[in-house]
Amino acid sequence: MKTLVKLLIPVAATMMLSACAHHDQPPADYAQLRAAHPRSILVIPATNRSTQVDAADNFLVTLARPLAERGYYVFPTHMVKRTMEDEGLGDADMVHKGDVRRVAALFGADAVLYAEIVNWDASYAIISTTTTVTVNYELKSGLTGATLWKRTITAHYSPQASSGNPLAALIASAITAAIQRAHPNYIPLANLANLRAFSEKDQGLLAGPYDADPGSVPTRAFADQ
Amino acid sequence: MKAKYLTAFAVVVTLAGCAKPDRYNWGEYQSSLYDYYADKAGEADYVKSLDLIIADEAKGKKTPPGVYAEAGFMALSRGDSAKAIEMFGREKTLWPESTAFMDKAIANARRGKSAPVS
Repeated sequence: MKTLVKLLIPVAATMMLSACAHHDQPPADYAQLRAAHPRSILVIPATNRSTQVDAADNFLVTLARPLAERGYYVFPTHMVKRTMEDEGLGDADMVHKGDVRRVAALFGADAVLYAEIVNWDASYAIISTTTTVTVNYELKSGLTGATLWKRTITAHYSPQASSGNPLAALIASAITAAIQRAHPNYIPLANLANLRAFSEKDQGLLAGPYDADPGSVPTRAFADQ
Repeated sequence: MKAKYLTAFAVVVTLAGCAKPDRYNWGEYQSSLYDYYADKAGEADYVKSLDLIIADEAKGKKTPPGVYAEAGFMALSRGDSAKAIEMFGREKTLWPESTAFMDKAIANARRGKSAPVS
């Protein structure tokens, strides 16, 4: 597995490189988030409406990093998951429908991040595999239950081996596609979706208290998918 | 083969031109937890990845939020409540936002229980 991850790092790098172009969208309404100015975010298990049975657990492990990098305190993912299971809150669908304030109070969290995986599909071909994910993100106040911020992101991931030699690149692409088919790696695509969700210019989360400029609007630009 | 790695390296370097470097040292946290969820046999590697992040603090790297708590939780699950209490305490000191949760976790570890909340 580790070798596989290492193999896919250059692939992910190539994919993310395309994320540096510029385009503008009208800024999001940050009034609620600004008023609540949460310091801490509790990441609870994601709900999964896709056909990939292990998508929820796999997606969960990718959420803490981009939120912490945005400047928030993020509660320990695995410890929270196990604690919720012990408390009879192991069913993500039930928890997502329940009272956010109850879950937040259990951990002393200012805000709770809800993620719903709408779909996670791969279209397979001989020399390439394109995986598409759509996720609904929603940040709710742990104090009032109000929605502070929400977004839906659709991201695509087509591993492409990088090489100066066209034939070598073709062979490498076919190998990469075969690996993806045998052991789909969810991390690069989930990372891309999360980064875009939380850090995109005028749309992502305001910077948290541990950022150099707390409360600032995100500035990172992404190319259209 | 070497050329392929060099190309990959060049891409990563180019990428660094537009991406901000990480605030924290995440090490193998994501991938080892991913592997652990896929296969329980990955538990030892997950624990090792947490210990490594913490050890790298000596090199001036910043430990991300949650990592001390995760290390404490794993220590508690193997019955090492002394290490668990120490780790929970460090999480709390570093991140005051975790105080309520860590106080409960410390109290439970003192009672020799692994469930941090009830």
